[in-house]
Amino acid sequence: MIQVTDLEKRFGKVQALSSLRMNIKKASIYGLVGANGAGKTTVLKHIAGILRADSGHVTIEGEDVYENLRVKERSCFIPDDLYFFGSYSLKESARFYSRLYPVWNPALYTQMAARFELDENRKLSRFSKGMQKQAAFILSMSAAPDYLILDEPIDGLDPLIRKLVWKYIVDGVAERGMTVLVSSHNLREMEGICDSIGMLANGKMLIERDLDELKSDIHKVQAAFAEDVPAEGRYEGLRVLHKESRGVVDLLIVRNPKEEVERVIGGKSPLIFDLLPLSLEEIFIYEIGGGNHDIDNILF
Amino acid sequence: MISTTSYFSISVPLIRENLRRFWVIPVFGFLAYFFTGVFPLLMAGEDSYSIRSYLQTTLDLRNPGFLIYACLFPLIASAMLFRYLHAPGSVSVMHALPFTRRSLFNSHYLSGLILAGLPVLATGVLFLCIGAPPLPPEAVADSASGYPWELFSPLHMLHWLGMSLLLVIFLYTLCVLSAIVTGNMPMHLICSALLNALLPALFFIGAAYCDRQLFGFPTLGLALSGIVNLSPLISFPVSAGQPGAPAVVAYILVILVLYAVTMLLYTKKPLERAGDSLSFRFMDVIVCYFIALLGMTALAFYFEDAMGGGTVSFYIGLAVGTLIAFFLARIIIKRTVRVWGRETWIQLGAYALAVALFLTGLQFDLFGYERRIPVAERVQSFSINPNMLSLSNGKIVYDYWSSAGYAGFQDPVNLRAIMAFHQRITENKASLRGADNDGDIRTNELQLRYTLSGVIGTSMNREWTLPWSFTRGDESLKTLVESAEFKELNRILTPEYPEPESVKFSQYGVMLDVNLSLAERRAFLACVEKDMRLETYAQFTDLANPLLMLDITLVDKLAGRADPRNRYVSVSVPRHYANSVAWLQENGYYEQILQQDESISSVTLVHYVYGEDPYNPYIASSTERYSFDDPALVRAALAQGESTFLNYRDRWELQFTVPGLSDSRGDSYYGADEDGSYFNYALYLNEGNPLLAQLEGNPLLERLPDSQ
Repeated sequence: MIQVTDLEKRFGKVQALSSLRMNIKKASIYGLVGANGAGKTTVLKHIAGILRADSGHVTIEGEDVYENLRVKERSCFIPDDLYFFGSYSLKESARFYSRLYPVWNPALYTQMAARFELDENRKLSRFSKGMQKQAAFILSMSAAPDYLILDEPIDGLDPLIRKLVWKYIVDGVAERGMTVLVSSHNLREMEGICDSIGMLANGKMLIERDLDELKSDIHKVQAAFAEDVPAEGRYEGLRVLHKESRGVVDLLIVRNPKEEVERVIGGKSPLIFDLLPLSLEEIFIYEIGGGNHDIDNILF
Repeated sequence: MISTTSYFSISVPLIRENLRRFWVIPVFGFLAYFFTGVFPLLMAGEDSYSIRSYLQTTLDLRNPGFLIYACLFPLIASAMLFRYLHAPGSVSVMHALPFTRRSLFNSHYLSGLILAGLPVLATGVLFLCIGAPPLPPEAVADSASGYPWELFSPLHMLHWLGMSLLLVIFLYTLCVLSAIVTGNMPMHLICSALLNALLPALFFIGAAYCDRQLFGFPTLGLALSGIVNLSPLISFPVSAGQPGAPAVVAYILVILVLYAVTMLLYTKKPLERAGDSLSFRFMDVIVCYFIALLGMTALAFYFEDAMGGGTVSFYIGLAVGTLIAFFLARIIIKRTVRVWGRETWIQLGAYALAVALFLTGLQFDLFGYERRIPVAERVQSFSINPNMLSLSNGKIVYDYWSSAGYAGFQDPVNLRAIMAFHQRITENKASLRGADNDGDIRTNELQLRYTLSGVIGTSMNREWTLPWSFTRGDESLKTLVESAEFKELNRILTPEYPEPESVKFSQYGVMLDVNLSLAERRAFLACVEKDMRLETYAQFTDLANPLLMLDITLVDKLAGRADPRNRYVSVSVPRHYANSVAWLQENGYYEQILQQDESISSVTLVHYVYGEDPYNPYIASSTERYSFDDPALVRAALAQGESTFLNYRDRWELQFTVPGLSDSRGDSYYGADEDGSYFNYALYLNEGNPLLAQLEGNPLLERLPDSQ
């Protein structure tokens, strides 16, 4: 597993990460989300062993990542901003990677190169940005890493290729127990693939939960009651995170199990009662946006 | 495939890839070396004599093309290999790969060494192939010059190879250091260029301030060797590829230290600053200060010297130069013109304070430099420049190559004398300071070198410009000059150079047709040396026109010297050298010498006074002009005229005309009189010269019309 403990990082006068803690279970897909500038890439670069922490620890299976060759041989990082040796083709790059990574999988490389339909002999610098992302993905997956760290991996990819990328990731997790840490702004796709979610804001971890647990715990409620039901006690026993009224209809965000919400509100014979799960995107907007009214309008 | 040893771990696959990617660098490098160095040799074929000097220049590491390549290819190699450090994406990818920072650095460093060194290595191998077998014996030594020409020997080639590789490795290491401490390519290139000049520049700047502020600070004469040795790029060509074993060891040590420091910096490098001007925050202020120092110094000295503004201009230059250069540096480093923050002003204030303290320290000699005289017990010996006591018409002027005259004085009496003289200088420094800037006063440049006992500070050097009037009557110098040790150290013939190959007579720059036999040469020089031993300090410093000048060639007869060189010595023979004059008379040469004196047709006496000419007030112009041709008076003028003037602003000049001589020598050599008539040579009558009284009101003088 990947463990981040009390990670601190400062860039000049900017505190990029502050007392950050993360736990990424083995053979899981962990989605790291956050607003722009929240510190996602900085976290990923620490976990990839690129940056040195000011304080705190980043460990993989109990070993510090920074300057640890053994750990680095078992992990791959694909940054958002890609880089290849200038004049190299995919094939030449693959040859170089095969000499660096001890468990390079040539069969997988051949298969993936064919599936992604990339010209192996063409210079990588001549590829489009999306094709370069695919090439980086092929190279990284062929290195058969135990830990795959992806920064905006599907940004710029067409839907078909995105599906292919997710397929190989899921296969890697299922077949080899690969652990994946992925950062993306495409929350709908993240929602469909991630086991766990870490939500980052201003260099701090806001929420870190299993996705199912996170979604089962927070709900959007619309309810209206007869006039004889007193307004003060209508939601007693619920953790109301947000409430507003539009006419006789109350709009709420509550953090309680579904059964609990149904018991409390259903027991008061509401005229209208809709209980809807929040999507990851909505949770993100709510958690990151806080009490901002503009964000409320997006949610409801 | 990856070695995991701690400090020297490398990645073989990475090195292999680097060589695969950048093979073009050594190929082009080799072609450049080949067409500049090897190709001309091959084309010359057996006629290798015709390109001797070219080959000599190359093997002496003075070939300009080779020097440019030694700078260029290491720079290109470092720029190509380490450019991944200059963009956030590439730096992330490279450091995410399974390398430690050390192995990444070592692999790139080694790759660059191979890429930059291969052309030199290949060229060296070709040189060795061409050089074997060596030239035939008759080509080994050139009998005409006595200079060894065995340039094709494997030893020469190996020497070139070793020195060239050392130079390339040194420069490459500096380039790598630049790549590590900078964050983008332009800064890398600028920093690489600056680093090569950094130490000499700092040394030169420090020397410039010390020279300006400290009385007695040895400037270029003594300090130049220090500047030269600070970089092999300068010292190798200057020393003709022979910097000496200590320098070579020092450069190797510097390379090792630079390598270790660079690797340490690489392991600490904050990768998030990729793309910034500088990688390390602490360097921002250092670079700012260095650029400010350069700008400040350049403008201050420019204001003072080029604009002739003096001290006030100097300080204005300091202030203006600091402000311009400091803010320019901040703008470059921060890559924004918004640099007017509090931090900038604090840094500027700290810099200004440091400069103020430094200059105040120099101005008021807070470090006691000017007052310092060595402890007598520690002084083992001292030396002075040989011609310092006799202006430019020195009693003995050694040739350029010789270190003669700098031989150490060890006699305790002389040690006490020179220290007393040193003491007198420090006591009178207020009146002596500035003599070097007063072009109207005759001065002597005195270079004094003490050799001291002890491990630290084994020498102490001073250099003063002293008025002639200060040294002429000095009792300490009198003791020194009249000592047996001084006479012995200033002999013409020495154990190394015992044989005079030729002795030529000249008078007023004209060579006399006199050929002495070896026996005559020996006998005559023995008389001259005897006169020199008998000479008093007053005679030694006398400016009287000498009877003749001797141009002596001494042959290096010392057996086994690897690099024999003749020595050329000029000696003046004053009229008071009784033994020499007697020998000349006895052997019939005296009359021949006087013949030229007799052929003088006329003498013009001109009085020059400064500021008298309203149209040209900044020169000394003639106010009185007289002519005489009385033979007795002419002889008196020749005997009592002095070879230099002591006061430019008010001087009497004797201008001698010898018929027929001006045509052969040309007017530009001797100068022309103001009315257009030529004279052949000039002597001077300084204040107190008895001839002045003799000539005053003398009816034999004819007043000439004012040329104005």
